[in-house]
Amino acid sequence: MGRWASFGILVTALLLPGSGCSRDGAGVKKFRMGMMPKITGIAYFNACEKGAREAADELGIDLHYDGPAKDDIAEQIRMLDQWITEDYDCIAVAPNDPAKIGPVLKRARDRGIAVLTFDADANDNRQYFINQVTYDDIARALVDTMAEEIGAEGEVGVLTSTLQAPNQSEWSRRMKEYQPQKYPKMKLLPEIPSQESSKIGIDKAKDMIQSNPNLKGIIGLTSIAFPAAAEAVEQQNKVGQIHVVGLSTPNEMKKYVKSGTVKTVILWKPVDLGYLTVQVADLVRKGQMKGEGTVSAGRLGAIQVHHGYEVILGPPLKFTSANIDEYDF
Amino acid sequence: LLNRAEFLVPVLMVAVMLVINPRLGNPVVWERISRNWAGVGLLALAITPIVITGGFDLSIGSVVAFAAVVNGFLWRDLGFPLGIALVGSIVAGLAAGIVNGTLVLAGISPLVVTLATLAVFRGLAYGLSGPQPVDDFPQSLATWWEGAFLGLPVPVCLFLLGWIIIYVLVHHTWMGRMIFAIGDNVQAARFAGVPVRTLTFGLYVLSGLMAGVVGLTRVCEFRSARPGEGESEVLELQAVACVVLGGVRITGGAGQVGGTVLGTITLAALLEGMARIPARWRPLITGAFLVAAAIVYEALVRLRTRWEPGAGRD
Repeated sequence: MGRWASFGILVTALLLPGSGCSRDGAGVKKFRMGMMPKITGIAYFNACEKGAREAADELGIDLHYDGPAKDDIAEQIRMLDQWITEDYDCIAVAPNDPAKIGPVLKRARDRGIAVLTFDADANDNRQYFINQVTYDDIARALVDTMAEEIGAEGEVGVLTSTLQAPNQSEWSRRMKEYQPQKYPKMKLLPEIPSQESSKIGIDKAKDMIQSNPNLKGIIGLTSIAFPAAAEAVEQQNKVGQIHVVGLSTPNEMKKYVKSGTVKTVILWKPVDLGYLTVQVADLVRKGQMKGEGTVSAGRLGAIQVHHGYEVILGPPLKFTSANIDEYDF
Repeated sequence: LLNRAEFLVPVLMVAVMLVINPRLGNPVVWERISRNWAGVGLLALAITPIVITGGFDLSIGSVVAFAAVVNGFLWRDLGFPLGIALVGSIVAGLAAGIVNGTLVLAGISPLVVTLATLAVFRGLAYGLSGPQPVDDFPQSLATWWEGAFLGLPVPVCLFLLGWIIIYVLVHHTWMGRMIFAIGDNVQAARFAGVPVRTLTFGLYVLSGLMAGVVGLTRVCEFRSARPGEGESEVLELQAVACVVLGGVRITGGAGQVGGTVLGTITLAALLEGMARIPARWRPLITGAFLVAAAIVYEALVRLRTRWEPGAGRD
């Protein structure tokens, strides 16, 4: 029995490089930060991690970046509960559900941990939300680009993740407000959920194409939904007749931009989003964060803060066949 | 003596985790862990008597989701009062147990039956739930779940209740003795006049019922009826892991309810103690511990049969 116990200790010890208290050379306790994406193992959040590590190295922060393997709120809550019992100084999370994440964030704050959200917001119990682009800017960029491609006229379908997803529902709502004012001859169809699965997304997009013979375009609201919509358009031989616009990473979309199915990909730089999140954590630690105005965030320079909690990365970026090869994320 | 030696395995594993992650020694940490693990513990308890008879119930995770969704369906889509919807969860679990029990009685292997119903009840949960799961149960449910009863967290009280029921059933009733007899040798039990069919059926129904209760608690905890409930943590496998870590023989005939409880605590300590290990590596470590436990238990069984032939059916 002892032999197996020591085997267990060995295995666990090998995989526990960060256990115990991390102290730097001077014996001062390092600032420990836990950062949790909605889901791990996808290009978008890997890019966030890259930027977060860059900032953590610059600032001497001990960063632990981890999250659930599925975009599941229950898993996030369980993992955060574990993190709270570890002595983290700051936790940043991209919640899968803005309401359900509330109680666990409150438990963290009650224990004196600084709490941030990034990429997607929580309804309350966070000090700052690091937002990529304002909801309005994204909604307008999507509708404007689609209008430009289809001549501001015709039916446009929307493929989203789930109907509860905070970002996607905010963008949809604002698109539906903006489009009738600016492009009255366009018509946005109700959003269809793809459950963040490529397979379901492709099927749903095909349904959309077949059941709406006058469809002129599809807007894909996530890095899964957008390529799924493009794939469906190719498989149904509708390239040129149905335009696809949306939010995704350049790497996910290069294939479709090169084949001509997609003309414009809209996004921000997730690397910078991760970088900014860790920079904000550092500003909070130093007591230099403010609720309104601009703060200085490392290589990103001056960054806007609004409404007492919302930190804005900047305007959206557009990737086309002219510039998409310059980006690798 | 060897009877007790089995309990050394989980105790030792918890000790290992305490050394690796000393924060597990803090009782405050365990308040949260016990809340988060009571559901898994109840499912492990539910399948313990089935495993002792040599059977299996892999469907419990799906039944949890099914029961949760039935709750939401009754409450939102059919407009029943919340109290009735909550009872509906338990009835749904009971019905699932009846389906499992009936199919097992029809002579199909329990592994195959519950593997199939694992898919069936998950499918029913997704189908019944529609595109928009019920997500707005009143806050009072979560408040109740987060509360305490007699100074103990509510989830822990439920777990203790389940423990007492299963413990008395397995170790202190004539049915318990028959459960072991079935696991030891079905034919012999049948000849001895044990009502094998009735008892087997009853155990699957009980397991479904308990899964229904866990489904109800998930509704309270997350204030939503999620068809994917338990999918990402693979609830049914966690429950089986608790049972195995607790020294219940997976081929039937031997095991103790207290073992399952210890096994649950062990798995909880294992998974909660790995907070600093990237989530993608955790299944590997959990697997390694499971294999280690299985090897030790197998060795113990062999030792015992060598020392005292005919023993091992406690």
